[in-house]
Order: sequence, then C-alpha cells, then structure tokens
Amino acid sequence: MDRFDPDIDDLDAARDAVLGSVVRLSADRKRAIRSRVMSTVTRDAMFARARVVFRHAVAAVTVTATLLGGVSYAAARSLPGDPLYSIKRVSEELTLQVLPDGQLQSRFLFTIAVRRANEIARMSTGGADRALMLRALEQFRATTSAAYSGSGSTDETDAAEARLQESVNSAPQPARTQLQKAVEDAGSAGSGHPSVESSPEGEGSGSEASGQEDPSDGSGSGWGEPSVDATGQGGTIRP
Amino acid sequence: MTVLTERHIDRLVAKSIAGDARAFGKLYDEFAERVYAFVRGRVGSTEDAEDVTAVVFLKAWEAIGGYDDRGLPFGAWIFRIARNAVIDSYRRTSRNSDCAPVGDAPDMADGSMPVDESVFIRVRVEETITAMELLTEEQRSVLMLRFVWGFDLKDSAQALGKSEGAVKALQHRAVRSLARLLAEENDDG
Repeated sequence: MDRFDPDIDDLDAARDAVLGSVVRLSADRKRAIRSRVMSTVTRDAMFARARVVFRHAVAAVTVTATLLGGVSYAAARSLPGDPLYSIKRVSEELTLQVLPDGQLQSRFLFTIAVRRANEIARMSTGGADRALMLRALEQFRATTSAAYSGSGSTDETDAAEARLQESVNSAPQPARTQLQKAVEDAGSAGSGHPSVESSPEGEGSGSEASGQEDPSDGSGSGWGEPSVDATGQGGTIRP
Repeated sequence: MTVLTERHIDRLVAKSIAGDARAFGKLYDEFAERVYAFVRGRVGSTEDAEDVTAVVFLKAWEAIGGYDDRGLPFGAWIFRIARNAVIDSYRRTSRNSDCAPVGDAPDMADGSMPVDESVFIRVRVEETITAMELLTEEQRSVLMLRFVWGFDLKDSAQALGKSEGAVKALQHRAVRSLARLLAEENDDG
C-alpha cells in the first residue's frame, strides 16, 4: 500500500493532513447542539429584556418619587417668603376643597393653623423679615378663625384645638403673645364667622399690613398689632 | 461552514451584546464547526465534544457583554473560550488522555470511493490524529488555527496571546514535529 508521504515538511501537506484528520460536525449534530445552546440563550435574552424594562420602570418611579417627594418635603418645610411656600399653600387649598364639610374640614383647618403657628415660631427664631412676620400672623388669624367657626365640639376637634394650643405655647416670645391673642379672639368669636379668605404668602406685597400697623404700638409684642384683612387677595381658606 | 465577512460578524456581535439571541445564533452557525473540530481533537468522545462545544457557546453568551472588539477579533476570542473550556473539561474528568478513539475518525467509507481507498485514507487519518496528539498543546492549537479555523498569523497570534513572530516559529516547529512523527509511524508500520 502506498502509505502516507512522510515528507510532510511542507505547509500544504501539513494542512491537508490536519484537515483530513479533523472530525467534522454533522449537520444533525450541529442542529442538536444549537438547540441546546439557543434554548438557554433565548430564555436569558427574554429575561434580560424583562430586566431592562423592570429597571427602567423602577428608575422612572424612583425619579418621579424623588422629585415629587423632594418637592413635597421641601415645600412642607418652606416658610413664608420661600419659593416653594406657594406649593404648600396650594396643596392645603386643594385638600380643603376635596374634604367634605364638617369635622374633617375643621380638623384640617386646625392642622393648617398649627402649621402657621409653627412657621411663625420658626420665623421668629430665624430673624425673619418683619413684614413677612406680620403677614404670617394675618394668615394664622384667618385660619384659626376659620377653624373655630366650623368646629363643633367633638373629641377630634377638641384634640385638634389642644394641638394648636400646644404649638402656640411652645412658640418663642414675642410670637407666642401674638398667637395666643389670635387664638383667643377666634375662640371667643365662636362659630359665627363667615368664610375667611386669606392671601397666600408671596402674592401680596405685605405692605398693607405693615402700612396699617402703628410702629409705636404699645402692645409690647415688638410687632405691633396687624390688621386682619379677611378679604385679602389670593387663596381662600374657608370652612 | 458558512463564511461571513468580518463586518457582518462585527454587526452580529454588536447585536448579541445588546441581547439579540438570533444574532448570537448566527454566530453559532458561523463558528460551531470550527469550535467542534478544535474540541473534538482534545476530548475523549463525540458526546464530550458536543457537550464542550455547547459549553463554549454558552460561556460566550454569558461573557459577550464584556467583549471588546477593539482588542481581539471575535474568532480569536471564542477560540480562547474553547481552549479554556477544554482545559476545564480535562480538570473535571481528570482525563489526561485526549486520544480520540479510532472509531471516531472521519468516516470516509460513504460509498463515494472504493473500499480499498477509503481504508487507505482512514489509516492516514488515524496516523495524523495520533501524530497530532503527540504535539504540544500550543503546536496543536497553532495548526488548528492556521489550517482549520483559517486564521492568518495576526489573528492566530491574538488568539494564542503571542507575537506574530512567536506564532510563526511555533507553526514551523509544529509542522516539523508532525512530519517527523508521521515519518516515524510510517517507519514503524
């Protein structure tokens, strides 16, 4: 038999020898391996797409929640004169509009009054502008008045009043005196108050209040006695 | 064996990286036979070779997200995976012998040639397989890359992680060794 040529020191001969020795993959076996591979690949690709969609959805929700939550928190912490304060006020107005008349609305008005009292306390310790302080006090008076005008005596409203009183008591002087006077006035007026309108902070000039104030007022509060403009412009707080 | 252009392969790779299973299937179609041929020369049975071939492509799919075509041609990249898969297979099975059984040699007796001739060719194939098994791993790899995978020196160098000069020298030694081994087998026969 003519055996294989041993003189293989030639690239072409080596190529032929190697290629000839290679075990080929049959078409059937190639398809069989392909099925095994692609079953996993296709499943992974499907899950990968689902993961991408899920990640995008989570990212969108996270971003939205962060933005909205951040704004809401920032707005909730805002004080009269802050850019976000109007958001806080609008949010309160919207809440009042959707609440049914009655105890829920009264309780929420007390909640708003507590917020105004706390704002005034923070402004007082923070050395806020005098005109802003007077305007904030106006808002407090209007809100407190509205709260008392709509409240019947129930456990819930009594508790809401108690929380308001706590806020007033914890305010620093001279704010506490002004707040206490506003609460007493509103409480003594009882439920005969009409709807009370108030102007949201930042929309009014604040000069009306300060302009009506007598700088030499001897109230001892340090702020003088502001007028309460129950027909003020802007947002409405009404029981 | 299909032969796609490098540009086509690059597009399929890009799609596969983006999670396109069909594109990866086409890459399988392009490289499966070469991978199998390489693997089959190193493992003990057809079944093992098919298993390892499947593993190679599954590993490629898992890793393709990290593939960077700026450094390594896809063919060289998948060859490296195949090489590592064979080594892993050795470790798993603790087999040191990668001798392919004679019965697994290419079947030439398919009726297309006289029986005497097919027997003659079969003997030649078996001799070559035996001789190839006696080469070093690198020598076998370079012959496989150059002759079966159709790589040029540059791609072979990248696949083996060597310089082109080193691959050229390695190829020369591999060819010389193969010639010597086949000559010895003939002398023994």
